[in-house]
Amino acid sequence: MGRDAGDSFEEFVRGRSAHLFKLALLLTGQNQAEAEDLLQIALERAYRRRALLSGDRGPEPYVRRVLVNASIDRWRALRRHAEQRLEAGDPGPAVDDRTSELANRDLLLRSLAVLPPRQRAVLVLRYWEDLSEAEIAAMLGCSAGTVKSQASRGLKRLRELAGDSRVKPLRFPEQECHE
Amino acid sequence: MSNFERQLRDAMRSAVADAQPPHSVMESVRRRYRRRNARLVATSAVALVVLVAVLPVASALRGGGGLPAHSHTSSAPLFPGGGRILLDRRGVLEWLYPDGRTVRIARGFDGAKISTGELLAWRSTPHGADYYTMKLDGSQQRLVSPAERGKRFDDIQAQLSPDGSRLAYIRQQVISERKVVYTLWAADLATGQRVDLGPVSWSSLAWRDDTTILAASADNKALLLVNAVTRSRSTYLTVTDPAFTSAYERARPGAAPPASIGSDGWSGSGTLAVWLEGRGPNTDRPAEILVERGRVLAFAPRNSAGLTMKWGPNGVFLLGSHSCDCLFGGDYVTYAGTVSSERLSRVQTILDTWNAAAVSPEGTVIALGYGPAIIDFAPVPSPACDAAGKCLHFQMKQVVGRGTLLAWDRG
Repeated sequence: MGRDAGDSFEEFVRGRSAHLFKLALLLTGQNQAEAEDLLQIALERAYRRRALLSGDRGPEPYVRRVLVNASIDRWRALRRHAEQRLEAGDPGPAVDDRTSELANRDLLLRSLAVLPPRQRAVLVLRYWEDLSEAEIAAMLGCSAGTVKSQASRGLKRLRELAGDSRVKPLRFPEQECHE
Repeated sequence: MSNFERQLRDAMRSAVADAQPPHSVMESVRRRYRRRNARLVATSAVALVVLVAVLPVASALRGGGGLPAHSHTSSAPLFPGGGRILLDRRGVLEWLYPDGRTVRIARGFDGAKISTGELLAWRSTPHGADYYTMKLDGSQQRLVSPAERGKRFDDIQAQLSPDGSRLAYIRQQVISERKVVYTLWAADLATGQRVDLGPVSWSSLAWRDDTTILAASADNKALLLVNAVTRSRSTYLTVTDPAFTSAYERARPGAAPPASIGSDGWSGSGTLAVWLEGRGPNTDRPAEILVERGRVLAFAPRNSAGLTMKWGPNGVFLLGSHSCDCLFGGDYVTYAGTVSSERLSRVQTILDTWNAAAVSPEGTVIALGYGPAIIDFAPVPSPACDAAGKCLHFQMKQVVGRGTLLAWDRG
């Protein structure tokens, strides 16, 4: 008797949940609780459709798409309430190169966390997942040109933020990816 | 790739290099799936059954005789409304106070509720749930109903009887993805004896008194009164009751008569909440019916395809409405109302549905929980807040990352 879709899905979760959790963490600006919730939402939706998602590509593309879309939806729901602020700490004494590198990395990640979620998703998919602009466009339902412009804007904003840690609360117009 | 892009890539890689998901991801996914599945399966199951028991309860309804009448300090409170909020923080049950203090009371539980002045907490196992009672401070933990080893069930909707002597719960047995069987059980907490009280629907469970349980029939055509001692059952209300069909017709003009019924339990002052739903395309819109001393009121938000109801103090109730029965899209709107106000007031529209809701002990503030991370606080809108004797006005407030909302207690 062949294995059923439930077994395959469990195998998929065992094998890929660590990677998908990391993606969720980056999409949520490293909010652990939000990432766990997003992962559950995405996997449950895929679990419901496991019979349909048991083809060659498996459920992963679907789960990634739900993760990205759910992170954007969740941000829309939250954005009324709180603007996130990058708190600039006391610069303190001079630090050695290694410490400075870690501080820069931390600032870059905190800056990434305050980008609008669609820009953040594009950067995460492009530079962490190593997806092409065409693949990201297919996932987000927009053109490769839009992905390129979102990535460009996101990188520009990151450079600004990383260059000035005393950042004001951010107010972004949400860039829709539907054309 | 520029140097800056490489830095960004390296920063992201190092940030999540050691991140690991919770061990129980698959179990959490199954739990979430079962909760949703239970609703869908029950809704489709009722469409297969044509069993109508017409009983003359309208007169009872009209006359009313047949119905029971870490440390955190801040100058501003973390949440409005006072009291204390019960949270589940990854299996740790704790109280959260408005000043941000948290007090841990127990760990290793999958959920808890306040029931008859005690905490009823549970741990899921592959064989059902282990149920514990404890004082509100976590002391005197007692395993009152262990899961039955060697069997594979899920227990849902557990409730303690008003005197705390019995536990009623619905056992869910998944036969296949399309067939789920629900059985009502009661456990005597003094003797540990369990009684099978027969098939019911997943949708309803409420204690009417210390020995009588209100539950919906398996076909969702009637509400039953089931005696936990004698195991006798009698029909209490039916979906074809003229009082209900007429209230439903007022709420959903032009819709076909309601085809299924379930209860959302009694308020503290004895008002019974009943949900009714039609059948078939464009006629399956739900309505919430409140029955109080002979009055039958219908609340039916426009564009609602699904309703979730939650009682609060002072007769305040919350209705969560979803505009479509779909996986993606649709609006989630929360309304508040009371029997005396006879109308609903919109609380908020949000792009997700709450999985928990509570009203502050005074009846002035609403807490809505979204997943394990987010709790929204909104004022109870007018006129529902009039029941509390005062109405608060404040911008919606949010608490993030403190845990899953379970209950709101006076403290």
